[in-house]
Amino acid sequence: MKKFLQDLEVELRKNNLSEEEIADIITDHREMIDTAIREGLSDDELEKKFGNPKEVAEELSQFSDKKDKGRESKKMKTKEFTGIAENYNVTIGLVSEDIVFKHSDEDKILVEYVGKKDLDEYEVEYKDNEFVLKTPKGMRYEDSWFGNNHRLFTITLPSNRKINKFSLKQINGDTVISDIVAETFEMSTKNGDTKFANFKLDTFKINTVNGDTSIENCECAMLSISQISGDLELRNSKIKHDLDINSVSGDLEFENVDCITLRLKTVSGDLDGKEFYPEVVYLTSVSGDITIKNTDSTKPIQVKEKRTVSGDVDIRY
Amino acid sequence: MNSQFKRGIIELCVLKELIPQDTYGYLIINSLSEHLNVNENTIYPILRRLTKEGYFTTYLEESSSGAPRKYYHITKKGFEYYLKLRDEWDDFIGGVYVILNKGGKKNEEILARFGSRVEKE
Repeated sequence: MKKFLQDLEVELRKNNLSEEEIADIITDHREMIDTAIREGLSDDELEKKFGNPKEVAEELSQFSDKKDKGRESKKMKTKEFTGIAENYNVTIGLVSEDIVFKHSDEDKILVEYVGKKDLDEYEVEYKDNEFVLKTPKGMRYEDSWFGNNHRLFTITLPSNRKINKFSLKQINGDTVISDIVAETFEMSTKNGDTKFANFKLDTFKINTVNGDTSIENCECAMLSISQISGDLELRNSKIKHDLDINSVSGDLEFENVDCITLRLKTVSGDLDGKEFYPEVVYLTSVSGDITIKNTDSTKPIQVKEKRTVSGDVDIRY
Repeated sequence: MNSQFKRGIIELCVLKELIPQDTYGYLIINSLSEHLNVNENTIYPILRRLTKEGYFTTYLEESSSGAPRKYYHITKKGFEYYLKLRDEWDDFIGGVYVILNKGGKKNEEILARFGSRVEKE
């Protein structure tokens, strides 16, 4: 069993643990192994009970003090970037973190993080007029499957700066974002839910799988939505040109929305509109319907194309 | 079994072991491995992590053989954490059993009732 301790020490060093941690862990293991030997466990039994030093070391390294950071190192939870250009880009790519955006009059981007990780474990920087926040590939979360695994980023953006391209990729995390003026906004998410409010954009692209989306108060030239089974709510918004929607089974609920051309391609998702005024409608569906209930009959809706198996377009005043 | 899933359950068990009395690492491993297929690889890191998070404190005490032993003691924070996890676990496992027990509690019952559905394929 002496070999187990030696191997463990080697593995702990490989994982870059601080000397104090290593000494402590080795002492604990020596004590446990001594007890086991005194109880008369055979070598086989010992091996079964103590398992694989590499595995313990890797497990331990996830929450232990590391050499270079020192024992007293406190986890970094906020970062600040100043000197933000008049026009800049934002690129976000997260996996299991929620994100909320705020605004301030100060000329800086402030990143605040709540969670068990160190902010330095993320890719976060402002460089070449671009703000980037990304979860590095293969990040390991030491989550228990229940209990508190909350991870939240709060990003404060300068409200007196313009954004050219805003790209936001999420996998599981939820997003709350408001008051954005940008040329292009592209959002994609798998399971995360998203809330948008007060947007002024040229091009707005949304791509979701299961996540639900809600958009409130949005003004843009083009909005294109692609969703599998997530639902989407769009309220009090004005799309100056085209509204393109691809949905498999996700439903859409629109209220107080204007646009010129609506193109809806759907398998079984329905679109329910109230005070929804597209000028021209194209529908391609298997069983998906478009139902619109409006009050202003001076704004006619022309159904240019309807290709559907059992779906229908129903417009009432 | 999914390792994260397993880790969560073992965490709950480790907390529980320390509620009636302070005890040392080897004893915890021994008493959990009596009932579950776990070893030091899983348990020791949990003990250490929960200690770091303030759920346990440790102290040394001489053993009968003379060598000092590290004892773990559950804190108030640890106790509250246990209660919270236990509630979540009961909720979860309760829900799982409601689902599994639909249409019969025992495998024989399920087999008698639904077995033919499988054979048809």
